[in-house]
Amino acid sequence: MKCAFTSVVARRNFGQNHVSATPPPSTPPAAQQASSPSAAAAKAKRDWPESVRLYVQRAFASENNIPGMNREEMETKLKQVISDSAESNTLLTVDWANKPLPQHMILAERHQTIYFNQNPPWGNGVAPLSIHDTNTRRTDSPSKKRKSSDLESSQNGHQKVPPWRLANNRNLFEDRITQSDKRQRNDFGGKSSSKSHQAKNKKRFEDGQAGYVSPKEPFTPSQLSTPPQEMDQGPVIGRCQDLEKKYFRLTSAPNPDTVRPLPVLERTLDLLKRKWKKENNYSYICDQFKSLRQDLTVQHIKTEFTVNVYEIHARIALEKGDLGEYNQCQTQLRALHLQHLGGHPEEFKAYRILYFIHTCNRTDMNNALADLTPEEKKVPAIKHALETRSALALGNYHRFAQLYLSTPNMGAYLMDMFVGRERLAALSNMCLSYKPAIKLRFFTEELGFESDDESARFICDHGGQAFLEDREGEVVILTGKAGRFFEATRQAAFQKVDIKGQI
Amino acid sequence: MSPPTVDKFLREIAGIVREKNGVKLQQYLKYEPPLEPLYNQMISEIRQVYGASSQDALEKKCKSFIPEYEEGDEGGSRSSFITFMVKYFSFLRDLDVSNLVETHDQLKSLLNQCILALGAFSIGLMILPTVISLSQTLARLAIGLDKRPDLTEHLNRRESTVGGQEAVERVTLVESSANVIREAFKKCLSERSGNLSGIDDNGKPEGRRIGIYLTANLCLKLFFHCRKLRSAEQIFGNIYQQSPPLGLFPASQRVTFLCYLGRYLFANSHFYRAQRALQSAYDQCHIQCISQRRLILIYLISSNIILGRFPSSKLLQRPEAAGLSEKFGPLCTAIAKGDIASFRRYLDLDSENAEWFLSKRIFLQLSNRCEVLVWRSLARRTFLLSGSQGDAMNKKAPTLALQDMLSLAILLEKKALNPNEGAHSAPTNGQASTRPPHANSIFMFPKATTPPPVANGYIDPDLADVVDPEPPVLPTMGIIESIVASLIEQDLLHGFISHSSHRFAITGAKNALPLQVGFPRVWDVLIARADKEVPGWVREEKKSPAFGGKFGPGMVVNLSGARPAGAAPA
Repeated sequence: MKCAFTSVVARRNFGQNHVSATPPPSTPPAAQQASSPSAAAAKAKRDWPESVRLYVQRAFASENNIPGMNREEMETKLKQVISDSAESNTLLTVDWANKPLPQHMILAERHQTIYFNQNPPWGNGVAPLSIHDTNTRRTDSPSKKRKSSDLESSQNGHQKVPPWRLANNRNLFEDRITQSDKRQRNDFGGKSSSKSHQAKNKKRFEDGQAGYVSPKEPFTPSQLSTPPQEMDQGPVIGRCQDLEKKYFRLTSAPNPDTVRPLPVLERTLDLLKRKWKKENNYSYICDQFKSLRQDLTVQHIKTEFTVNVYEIHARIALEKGDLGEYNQCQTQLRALHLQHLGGHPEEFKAYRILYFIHTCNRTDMNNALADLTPEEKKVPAIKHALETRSALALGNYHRFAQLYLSTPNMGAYLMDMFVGRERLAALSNMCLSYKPAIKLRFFTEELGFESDDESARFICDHGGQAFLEDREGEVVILTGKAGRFFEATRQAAFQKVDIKGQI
Repeated sequence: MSPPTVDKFLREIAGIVREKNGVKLQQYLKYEPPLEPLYNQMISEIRQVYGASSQDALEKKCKSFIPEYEEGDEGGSRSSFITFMVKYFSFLRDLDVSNLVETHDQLKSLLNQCILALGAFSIGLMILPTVISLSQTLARLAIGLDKRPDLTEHLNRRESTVGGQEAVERVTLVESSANVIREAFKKCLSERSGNLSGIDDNGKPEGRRIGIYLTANLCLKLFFHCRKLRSAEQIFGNIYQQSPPLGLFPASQRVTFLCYLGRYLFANSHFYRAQRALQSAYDQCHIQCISQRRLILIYLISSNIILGRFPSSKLLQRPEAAGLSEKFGPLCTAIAKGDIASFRRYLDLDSENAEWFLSKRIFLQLSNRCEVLVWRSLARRTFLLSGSQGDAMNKKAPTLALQDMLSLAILLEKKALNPNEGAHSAPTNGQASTRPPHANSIFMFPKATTPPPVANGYIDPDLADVVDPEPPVLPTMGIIESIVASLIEQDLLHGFISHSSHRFAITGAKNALPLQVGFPRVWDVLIARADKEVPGWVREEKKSPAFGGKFGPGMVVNLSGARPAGAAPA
């Protein structure tokens, strides 16, 4: 018991409450309880100011009872108000005569809760973790309440404690503070099978999952408003002035000292652009861009500059064939472009279509087509991508090669990823269809190779050297002989589409 | 003081739980307004006695009526059910229909608890009807909310500012609901009671398995709504592995499931499989369910057209096909005639028709696959018009001049580019024809091979995006050859190309008509290539299901689908 108790660091002040058994005789019973923590904190017995005592009396006065609110809840709040005040040494300065009574504060919080429900905090997976555990419910309300009512600064202590620890501590704490809860807990512990525990654990787990989180637990509206972690997630304002920074994947809340504010980031981007032109060192650039993106993210900067950063990084990644980074950027860009922050949405829409061709993703292609506006369909880059799509659907490799050679922007890098397999398909096609032979020159031209050498090498790379023959100074492909030779290679080429971090 | 109505209600619920009457339980657990007066009375009692802070008291209250453990019950506690009851009361207490987004979240959380109770051994089956009912309401609410972006907008906005993590796919409201319902689906599917096949003595699915397709269909509805076909794939995969045969379930569930399966297969270009699933759905769908039959029919007709079968006029006269004739008719005509011009115009992305096809998500498939068929028809027509029938005696194969096909194609493509020239098409833009109006285009062949003048002059960079900078692409010999080659590759043409003479030669026409040999029927060709098995559709009882059976000694257990120890259920 003792060691369990000492481990409750965050709540030491309340815990003392059991040990310090001798309250000043003059205080009313509730104030006794309330006083002890602050007394312990101050390490000195203290005579409560008259104003505080009157406040406590007022709180317990029957005419101030509010129907529907139980006394325990009010007491907890009262204790918290006084101990907070004692901790911050404001016992003498607070205007106790005019301070709202605890029950009124609770009432106000309930209203606030309703307000919060209408604007539920979204996506924070931590909130309901301990909510369901009935034992913990009442005691963790003080910290919650403090937050939504008067945002006091004294809560840093337990913010650092991970939520599961928090829940645990409270259990232990609860264990000793009230008789009734202890009994309840024993009841529970005595009877519940491992199965019911499992169910509870599972429930917690599920409630905590991002997808399942209901921002408000209907059950306990008093404590939903802001989960402890929410504060940490607010935008950081950076203070770092360095232009360059190595990327480091965050494992905790970002430290403003290592985050660069927007003006610095703007200069960073200029520097990176210059460096990229000069040095062309991809691993350096990629790393720098990642840290740049991270600083933007943690500061919640979503402007045209953000779009710019992602677009540049996406283009560089594309150029270097880094599909993983490219996809990360594309995912963000899709959301950013939807917010009309500027940039080049059409260019990237065209890339997306080409990418769907690469991954043979027909479902998303269908959706992408449905989402195109008439204006977008007229944009050359998108038109090009759409034509490429239909040329391939038809098996029109002649047209495909033309399109390949006239790709706008950086799309050629994407087309490079599937031109090989499409050429193979065409080769396989030609071998099936043309008899008895075709000139290598024809093949070269049809599929947009740069030279006969290149196309011959392509055929040899796929094991077709036996079908190349020199006839009177001209190389021909013996298509009639090859027949279905390239069929298997073609099928294999279409099967392995490596999808890295696909959108 | 004890709230009388709550007491009464709990007493009756306890009775129902003892009887294990799932249907009655579902009827008692009302949650959707407007509620009957008795419920309203109960709610006001809860609000009075059990405020937001007296959750413990509420739980105690429930426990006092419904014991966690029942004497003689075959193990398993009811604590998850009690928690569910507490949540149910809280839901009623906090329900505020003026805030539907909030209600949706509360309902989702209530369902989540209900699903946990579904997993409990002793009460699982009893609570299934309630799970289904909650799931249905949740699905309805989620789709309703999705159609009201004004209500959910703040979620998106919040998410975009708070959701700091990069590259996280946004889980939409609809998807999050589907994910909860999917849990119910998994619980139903993984039912382990009963024998190997999951079928009881009466030939019905046993235990919670009766909920498999009910929950699956709801999930599919939501996944299709929010375009998450990849999530739908999981549902089909799980069902294919573990479900009892679809035929054992009620018709409405069968039809709904097959419809979604067909649409999914269609979206993934498995047209023959889609056709089989949809045909079966259509055949089983009740004749009075017009809107359902219509939906199935749209996808069924699309699959069939792609496979080379056109809808008969008789079919298109049925009530559920009202209006479909106008949509698919021109398409079929264009395919049959090889009229690439009309086809292009009809399935142009900008056209009005395209919008309808796009909204049904059949545009891409139709335009992709049907263009192939149009070209096949064009080749066939060219052969009929100008092909050489060959001479079997002198070993001369029937051939078709690709130059003729090219001429026809150019004529048609030009028609597509300048719709005014077509006699039957209404002018869509004011662009006047460059040719003298009296010239019959048939006499224009020689000139047609030269590309039309390209705008070579100076184009201001600012205007480059305004005007179409790319010259219209007219077919060339290269294009015709590659199209014919790919038709040959798909077996839609039977023969080979001679590149030197630019002719397509039909092979194997010794003892048959060249037309039939060279241009086989599309349906026959595609069916011969198709796989007959339809994944996701459990037709027959599995001989040895991978899961859920009692394994005897000496049995070989196939563990290929098993997950590693400790892994979460897939």
